[in-house]
Amino acid sequence: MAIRKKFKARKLMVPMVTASFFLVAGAVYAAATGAFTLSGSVGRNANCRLNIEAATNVDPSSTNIFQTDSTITAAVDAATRNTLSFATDLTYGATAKQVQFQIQNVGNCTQVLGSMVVVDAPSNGVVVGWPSINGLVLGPGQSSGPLEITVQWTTEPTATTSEIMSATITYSEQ
Amino acid sequence: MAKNMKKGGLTQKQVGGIVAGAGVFLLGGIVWAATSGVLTFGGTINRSGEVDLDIINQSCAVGVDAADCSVSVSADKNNLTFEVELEKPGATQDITFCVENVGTLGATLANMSVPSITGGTGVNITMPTNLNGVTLLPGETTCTTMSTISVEWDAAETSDTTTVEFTATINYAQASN
Repeated sequence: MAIRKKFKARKLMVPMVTASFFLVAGAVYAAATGAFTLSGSVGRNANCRLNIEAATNVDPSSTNIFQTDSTITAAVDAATRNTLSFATDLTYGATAKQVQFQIQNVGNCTQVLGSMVVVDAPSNGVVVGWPSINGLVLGPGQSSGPLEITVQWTTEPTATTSEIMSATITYSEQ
Repeated sequence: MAKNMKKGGLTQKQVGGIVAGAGVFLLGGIVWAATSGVLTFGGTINRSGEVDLDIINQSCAVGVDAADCSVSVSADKNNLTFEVELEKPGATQDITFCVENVGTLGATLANMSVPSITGGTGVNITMPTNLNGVTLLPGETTCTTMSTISVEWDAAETSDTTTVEFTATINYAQASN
């Protein structure tokens, strides 16, 4: 009797642990990549999302981002509008360059923005100013107003390497 | 029997509790993942700048038995042209100057080469030694300690007078980190 019960418990545990592993892996993947579709019967509401838009142009078909300096090239990916990329030349000691944009709630869920998390920070005297929007709540149709990223080469005028920088903001339904 | 079950592993009740707890956690994670998103911002910065040093504050300084000393710089201010009349053997004339970084990148100076002299034999030129290895950041100068080029006519020479002319050049390159 004892042996049968022990055997039954072990039979139950193995498939449950296995199923749990795959569910965890799936959820972690979905969260880490920002993917909005999951396998199985749970699917993301496609209308719960934020877009990066031009500061003065909220036409969702536009991929251009308003720029305050013509020497910066910036664009948002057309498909998902959740990635802004820019490139520029910097001269030591020159005034800061800016990229302006806004974040717009194009869905029907109220979203709250988290902290800006810097993934790649430049070195060698380049200073980047990221917008501070932690906790910003955007209802359906609302936008953040003009936000800006600034870059400036302030110290170490002997360096000539190129630099990359990146940051992410995670948002969630309120 | 119960002892054997405990010794051998978790009880069914414990397993059930663990799975239920994991299920709640997983469900919460799935719901969160389903209603959250990520915005990404990335950029590439290319540095650009100019390496440019200028000779400044050049002048004829102390002279002995020397006359009509003149010194000027070229249009790019990297070359210093000097002319002086040495009145008798043993005459001397100094030229002083300093260097300014007018570019947008740091630059390091190297020794100045001894220039070729036009006119006069037995004339010796001593170049400054306080510039070699000096790094100037944009806007900085070496003017707190002036550099000196010394011209001396060998006292053993027998000519009455000689006019000496030469051009000296500053050497520099972009500073490294």
